[in-house]
Amino acid sequence: MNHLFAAEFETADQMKRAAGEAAAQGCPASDALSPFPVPEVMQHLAPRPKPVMGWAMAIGGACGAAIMWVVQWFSAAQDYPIISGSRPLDSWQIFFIVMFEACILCSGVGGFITFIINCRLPSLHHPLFEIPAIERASRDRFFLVFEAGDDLHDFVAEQITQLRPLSLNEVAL
Amino acid sequence: MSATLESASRWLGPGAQSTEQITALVSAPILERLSWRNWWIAFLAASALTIIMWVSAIYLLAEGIGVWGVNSVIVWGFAIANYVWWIGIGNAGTLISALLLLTHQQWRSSLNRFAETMTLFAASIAGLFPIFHLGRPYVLYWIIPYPNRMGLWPQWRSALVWDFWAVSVYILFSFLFWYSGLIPDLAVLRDRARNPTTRRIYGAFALGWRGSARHWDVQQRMYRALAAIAVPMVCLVHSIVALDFAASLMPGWQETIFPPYFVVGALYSGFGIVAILAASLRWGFGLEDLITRNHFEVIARVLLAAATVMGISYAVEWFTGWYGNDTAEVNQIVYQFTGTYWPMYLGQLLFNCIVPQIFWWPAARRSITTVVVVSVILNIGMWFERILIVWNTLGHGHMPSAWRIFLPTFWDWALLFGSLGFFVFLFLIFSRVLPVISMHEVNLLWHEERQS
Repeated sequence: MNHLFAAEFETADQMKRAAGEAAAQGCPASDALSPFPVPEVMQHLAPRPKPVMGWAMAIGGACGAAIMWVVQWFSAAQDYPIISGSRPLDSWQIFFIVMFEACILCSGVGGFITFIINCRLPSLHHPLFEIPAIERASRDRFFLVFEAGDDLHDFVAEQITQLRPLSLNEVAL
Repeated sequence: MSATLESASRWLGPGAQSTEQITALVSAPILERLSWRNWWIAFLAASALTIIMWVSAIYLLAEGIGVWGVNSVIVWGFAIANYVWWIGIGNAGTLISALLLLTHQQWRSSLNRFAETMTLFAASIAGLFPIFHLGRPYVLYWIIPYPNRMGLWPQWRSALVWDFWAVSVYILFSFLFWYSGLIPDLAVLRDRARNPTTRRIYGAFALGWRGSARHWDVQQRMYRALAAIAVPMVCLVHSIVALDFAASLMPGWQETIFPPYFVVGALYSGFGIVAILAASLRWGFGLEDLITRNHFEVIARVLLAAATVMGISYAVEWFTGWYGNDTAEVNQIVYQFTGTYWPMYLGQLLFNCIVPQIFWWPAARRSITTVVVVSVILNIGMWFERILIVWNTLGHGHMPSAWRIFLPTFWDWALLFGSLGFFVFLFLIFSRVLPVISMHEVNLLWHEERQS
């Protein structure tokens, strides 16, 4: 059985320091909860693969633009040719407007989907929510989250106590 | 160091000196049982105007656009001017939010949420006007490209199709941007709410956000990337609206300055509305510690810069008309100054270019009343500009036998003022159910200032 520990700290700096100490002890936190982004804490957390936000958005945008280019070319030059003001049927210059709009929309949607997948949201039920104190993570408290199996349970608990958190809560996964 | 210390007191008042205080200030009006008397008064007034708007819209749809003052020459009338005016207001929110994020302007934190909401509502209202003006709104779906048995496709060279794409993508993307920034704040409301139903509703929309560092990392990456692509998109929206005019062959419209000049005009009127909303929220919710005088001071600076650019743009129009020496173009400029609507044109110049020059005085910039009054005036001036672009050019084009004037009817005014009421109506509902200020961003600002 796996266990989740949530160690509470009063300020972002205390949490950062504790995360650094824990990492130095060879027991890095798996996650940190804070009411606002504290990017510096990431370097002390257990490493995970980086999200591919930029690529996802670029591919989404390129697909959107390509699809709308094909749709416009096919409809205006092939399927429904209407000469308007003696302009050429394949007036590709003007197609850029809709291509650009589709590019923006699809890259935005691509970014949002990547965000949702990377964060595994929506996750309305999470073991951490069983800790009543965790509510304050959105308000004024900072938490370091540690994961441990049965074999390491006592070791990790001991390590966390040495960080002197305000409180330490535990839930079983 | 002294610069950062100065900025520490600059954007946050003495009552917002901890994350708890900041979140309480923003969330208390939504979650606690406070007096909502003023809100109800405003809500009832806005509801009355909303009813007027929808009655006039339904009457219009039932009777056709003949109920308006449009004639065979000035075919665009109020509808397209209102569309341009509303989309201009809608332009500022996402631009403020995205551009100021990318340029690391700290004062954006207190403004971005309600400015983005303003964008969503204003752009949605703007999008209604071309539909009302279609004449055959029931075939609106023909401008959507989809395979159909009629064998029809949209005409991609038509400005109407560009408008459809520009406005709908703008609304959808702005919604995405707005919601991406809102998720952490919904989690705050979920955690603070005491009523279980409220908690569940906010919890569902917060998607289970728990403030995890890994989530913050992805969210911030996405948010900055969205901001980076939002800026060119915002510029394109109003450029496309400007192309509706500039891509024509009409005197006074066929000008390459139109797209940038429309974008600046949009930023200008939008910032004006942001100032009005900021003052109302500050007063209505007691947010003096989060929306400070310094915020109005910087808004006034932006308004001053934009007013000056507007003045230069008008001058460039006159210069190119004179320099191009095209008869119709010169006639158009003379008509602006001496024709039927000359008082409105002078009003436009006065309201848009001269009045905001008061902001050269620091005392005027620091006076909230002055900023709000100037914002109201400049938005009237911007409406004059939008309506005169339509009236002057259409009513006084190449063919003298087709010179007409526009006489608005009751239904023109009803829809214009009704749409204002509908905007206030939507905005009041927003202020009742969602945090008007981005709590996590103000908290971050507070944290950064304390660190330095």
